[in-house]
Order: sequence, then C-alpha cells, then structure tokens
Amino acid sequence: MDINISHFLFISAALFAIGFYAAIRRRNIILVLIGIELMVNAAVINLVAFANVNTKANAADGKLMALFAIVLSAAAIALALAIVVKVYQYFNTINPDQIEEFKN
Amino acid sequence: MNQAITYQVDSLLQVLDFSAIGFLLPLLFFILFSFYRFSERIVFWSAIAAILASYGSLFYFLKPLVNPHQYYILDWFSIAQSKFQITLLIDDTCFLVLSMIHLVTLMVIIFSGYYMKAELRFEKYFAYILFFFTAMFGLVLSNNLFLTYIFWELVGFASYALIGFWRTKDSAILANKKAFIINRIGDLGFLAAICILFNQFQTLNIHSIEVMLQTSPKDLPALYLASFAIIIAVIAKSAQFPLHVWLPDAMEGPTPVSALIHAATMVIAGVYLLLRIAFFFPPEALLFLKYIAIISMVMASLFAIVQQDIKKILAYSTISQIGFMLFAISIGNQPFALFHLLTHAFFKAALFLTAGVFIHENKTQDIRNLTGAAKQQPIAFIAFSIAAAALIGLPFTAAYFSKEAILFSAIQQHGLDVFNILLLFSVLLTSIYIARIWFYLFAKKDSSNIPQAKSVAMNLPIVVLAMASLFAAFSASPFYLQAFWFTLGTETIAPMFSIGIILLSVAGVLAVKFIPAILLMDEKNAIVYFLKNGAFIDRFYAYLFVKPIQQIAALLKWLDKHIVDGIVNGIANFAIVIANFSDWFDRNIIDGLVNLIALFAKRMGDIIRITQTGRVQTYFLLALMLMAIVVWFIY
Repeated sequence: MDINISHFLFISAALFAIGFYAAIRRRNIILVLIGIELMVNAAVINLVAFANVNTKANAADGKLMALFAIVLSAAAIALALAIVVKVYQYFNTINPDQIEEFKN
Repeated sequence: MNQAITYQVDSLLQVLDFSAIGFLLPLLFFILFSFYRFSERIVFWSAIAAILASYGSLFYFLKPLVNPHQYYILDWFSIAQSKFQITLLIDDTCFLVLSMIHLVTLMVIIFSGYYMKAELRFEKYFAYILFFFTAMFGLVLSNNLFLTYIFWELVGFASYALIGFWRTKDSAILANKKAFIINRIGDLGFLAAICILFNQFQTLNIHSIEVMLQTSPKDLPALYLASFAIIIAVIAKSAQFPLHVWLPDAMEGPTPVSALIHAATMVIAGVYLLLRIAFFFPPEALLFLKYIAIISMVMASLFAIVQQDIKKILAYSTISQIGFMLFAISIGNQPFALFHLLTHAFFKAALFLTAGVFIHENKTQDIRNLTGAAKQQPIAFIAFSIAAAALIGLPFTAAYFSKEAILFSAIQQHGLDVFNILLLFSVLLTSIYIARIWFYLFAKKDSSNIPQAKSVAMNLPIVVLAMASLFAAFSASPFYLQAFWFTLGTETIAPMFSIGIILLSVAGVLAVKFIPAILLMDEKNAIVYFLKNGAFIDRFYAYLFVKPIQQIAALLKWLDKHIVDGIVNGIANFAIVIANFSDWFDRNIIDGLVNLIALFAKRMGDIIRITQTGRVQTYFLLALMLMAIVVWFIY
C-alpha cells in the first residue's frame, strides 16, 4: 500500500477531531490545553505533509512554518499554563464548567 | 351790590402774600397725618394750630380784600377753543361763610380731643377733618362751576370717609355707602347743569354767566333744564326730600363729625351753591324749589317728633332747617337765607356737640335714657338750652332775627297761603321736637351712678358755640337787627308778628309739657309707626330701586354662573375628554408600539444570550463552528 498525502491528512483530521473533542469536552483545563495542543499538532502535520508534496523551489517553507508553529504553540502553552496556575489560585478549581466569569 | 374788581392773574403767587400761608397749613397737616402716625397730643395740637393759622390768614389776608368784591381769574387749561379758568370770588358772603366754617371746625376739633380720645386711627380722623376743611374752603372760594364741582366731590368724599370712620361697624359702612350713592345722583344733576351751562354760555365762571345773562337774550329751555339739574344736586347734597334718606343714616359717624359736616358745613353746600347761582333760575324753578323746601321742612319735622334717637332728631331737624333756608331762597330772600345758614351752623353745631357730651357720658343715644342730664352736665345742658332756644327762634338768640325775617318776608309777600300755613306749622313742630328732647334731659333721673367727665376740651367748644348762637354774635341789640360786622339786607318786622311767632313756638313747648303722649311717642300708634319709619320712603326706594337692582344682579350672577361658567366648563370638559383620549392613545398605542419594539429587542436578546454561557469551552466550540461555516461559504 502506497502511503500518500491523504493518509497524513486522515491522521491529521483524526488528531484534530480528538483534540477538538478533548478541548470542548474535558472537565480538566490542563487536558483541555492538551486537546488544543493536539489540534495545533494536527495542523503542523498538515504543514509538513503539504511541504513534502510540494515540488517547487521553496519546498522548505512548509517545514519552516511547522517549526515556527511548534515554537509558538510551546510559547502559547507556557503562557496558558501560567494563566491556569493563576486561575487555580483565584477560583480554587480548574474545571472550566465552574468558571463562569465571562458570563458577567 | 358793590362794584367788583376783576384781576386777571398769571399765577396764584401774584395774589397770595406771606399772610396767606396759614391757608396751607390744614392741607399740610392732612398730608402728614395721612402718611405718618403721630401721638394723639401732637395730632390734636397741630390740628388746632392749623385751623388757628388759617383763621389768622382769614382775617389778615382775606378780610381786607372783601370790600370791594374781587375776582381772581387764572387760566387753568383749554380744550380746543374752550378756555377753563380758575376763578375765585372774595366777597362778604364768602368771608362770612368761611369765618363760620373756621369757628365751627376749630370747636369741633377741640371737642374731638375729648370725644375721640384714645380712639384707634386718631390721626386719620383728624386728617379727614382737615381734608374736609380744605375742600370746603375751596368750595366756598370758587366761582367757577367746574372747580366747585371738584370741591363738591371732595367734601362728599370726606363725608363718606367720616361716616364710615368706625369701619368695623356694619351699620356705619352701610350708611356711608348709602350717602355716597345718593350723592352720586345729585352729582349727576350737577354735571348735567355744568354741561348745559357750558353749552349755553361757553364759560363756567359764575360771574361771566351773570354778566352774559344781563346783556344777551336768554335761552329759556336750557335755563329750565340747568336750574332743575342744579336743584337735583342741591337736594342730594343738602338732604332734601326726596333724597334726604342718607342724612339720618349718616349719624352713624362720630358725633363731632355730625356736628361739623352733617349739620353746620357740608350739607349747607347746596344752599351756598344756590346763593351763588340762583340768579338765573326761572320762576318755575323757584316754585319747584319752594315745593321741595316746604315738603322737606314739614316732613322732617314730623319725623323728628317721633324719633327716640337724639342724633336722628337733630338730623331731621337739620333737614328741616335747610329746607327753611331753601324756602328763603325760593321767595327771593337770599341775604336772610345766608344769615340763617350762619346762625343755624352755630346753634346746630352746639346742639350736636352737647348731644355728643350726653351720648359719650351715658353711652346711649336714646333720649329716654338721657334723663338727668341737667344735673349731671349743667354746662352742656345750659348750652343745649340756648341752642334749642335759637332753633325755636326765641328772642336773645341770633336765629331769632334770621328766622323771623324769613317768616315775615314770606307772609308779607304771599299772605297766608298753603305754603305759609305749612311753614308756620313746621315752626310749631320744630318747637315740639326740640322741647321733647329738652324735657327728657331736664327730667329727674331715679338713680345716677355714671361718673361724669369734665374737661376743657369738652366744655369750651359747647360754650363758645352756644355764645355764638346768641344775638350778640351778630347784632348789637337783642330785639332788632343792628349788624355791626357784616352787611345784610334791611330787616323790617312788625312787632305783633314777632310776638305771634314766639307765642306759636311757646305753644309747641307747652304742648310737650302738658300732653304726655308727645313725650312717649308710643310705637303701637299707627301714625307714629308710619312716621318713625320715615314714611317708608326708605322701604319705597328699597322696593323701587334697590330690590330690582339686586334682582338684576342676581340674574346676572345666575347667567354668569350657569351660562358663562357653563360655556367655560363645557370647553374645559371638552378639553378634558380630548386629553383623556390623548392619554389613552398615548398609553395604549404609542406606549404599545414602544413596548413592542422593546419586547422584540428583549426576545432577540433572549435568543442571543443563550450562547452567552460564560463557559470557555462553549465559546470555543462556537468560534470553531463559525469558522467552519465561514470556510464552508468561502469554498
């Protein structure tokens, strides 16, 4: 069986779907962050996959973009975790269902 | 008549000199007292000082101008081609009347110091008196009908203010309204006369009218009208039949006011006016005047006999005596009309002031309760007796000359006709009503415990006025007139006639003494009841004029209340209905629309707010779905 781009895309879509489900469904905000990270990584997989099928001169652009995305998501996660720590100190919980401050 | 000198002057300052300044003092004090309050003592003495100063001016300034007569003509104002002038005439008549007014005013002011003591609005009372004095002064001096009319109104106003001086008393207020309204009728007559005479002569100067009448032919109908109009004015001011009804009611005022205004001075303004202007009266007008005079005399004497109120008796007596003066004018005996005016002023003022003493000390006006006055107030009683003798016309009094002279000339001219018999009858009645008071005052009182005041302010005026009623004030001899300080026509009276009149008067006095019914005047008697109510003239006026006017007023009130108010209320109700509809429309339609929009917005909001859960994950889901939709639509 020949492995082509659609396999990558399926993996990526599955990963995105799993991450999306985790992000909107989990009751632990850390796991929500992990879900988000999964979704980011699904996108990164897409970037790398499309970079491989690109035959033009700037073929490395997608891979570079993937590296940037990884760095940025790491930074974002670090910031998000810092916020989570603060949220926990403030609300004494990290269950997003119990944090309804945005309503007001 | 002496030849008159006429001066045309540009300003009154040309006429007046320093000695005339006294005339201004009463006016000055009137103004002061009207605006500021002073203590009683200051008011009293400055009022006396003002009259005394005026009195001084009268003798030092006015007296030398009397002979020969002087006219002062001063341009006043002009309307189109008609010039109006202030004309003053200074002559014997004017001087005599003025000196009488000064003396009576002075005595009344002194007496008021006793009578009005500790009265509220003391200074206003004196202000009114001084105002009246000034107005009366102008009335006497004026020789221009329009100017006279102004002063005529002013004395009327002073009378109105003083009748109602006790303004919290309903009867006083009713009386002064009555006096005021009845005097308006007379003023209408005066105004009509002024219009007619001005139309006829183009001038209102009495002197000029007199001169023009001698040179140019007369327009008789106009003169008839003018003389009847003047007579109406005189009837109202001098309280003659049928407009006499205000004078007995005017006795509601303070007694010194009754003495000054309603006996001695203001009510004789009508007589004075006739003395000045009666020269153009046609014989028919004089006859009319004679009817008025004789009816007033007999009627008022009859009313006086049955009254129990001492002031009302004296008021009716005044009506009767003024009728007597008008009678003298109507038979052409003007000098003695003037003379009787003067003597009457003194003895009637004396009668009123002594009556004031009895009233003030006994706190009653009913003669049946004034018994014992002879013992309690001997000075006042003697003064009253002298003045009463003067009223009857007994010898040794000044009124003896004036009264006899008028009676004699009347009988000499016309014999014993109906008028003269009525005249003699009223002489008899006069002695009866005054003797009736006298016997009551003289009668012994069973018990007297009322403390009696004695003061100079009380006794001086009545003594002076009683003395002025004696013959010596006017004549050197008590039995025939030997005037020494003024000039009158010559008097000739047959001695037998005089004795007859005296006997007639004494008969009246004796009738009171020996017929007890006259003293009692039992009201159950129908005639007495009829007379006591003033022959129902008041009630007649009430039914003829007052009631209809009141009914018209009631009708107008009803019209106002139901028709005018109805229309106004209808419009108002209509506006209310409109407003109610507008309110309903506003509440239901406009508010409904607004609420509907608001409700719509609320519903929309409700729909939108479903998404606003406040949960991060829901927002996240929504954002992704939205993005998915956007992407869906883009590709």
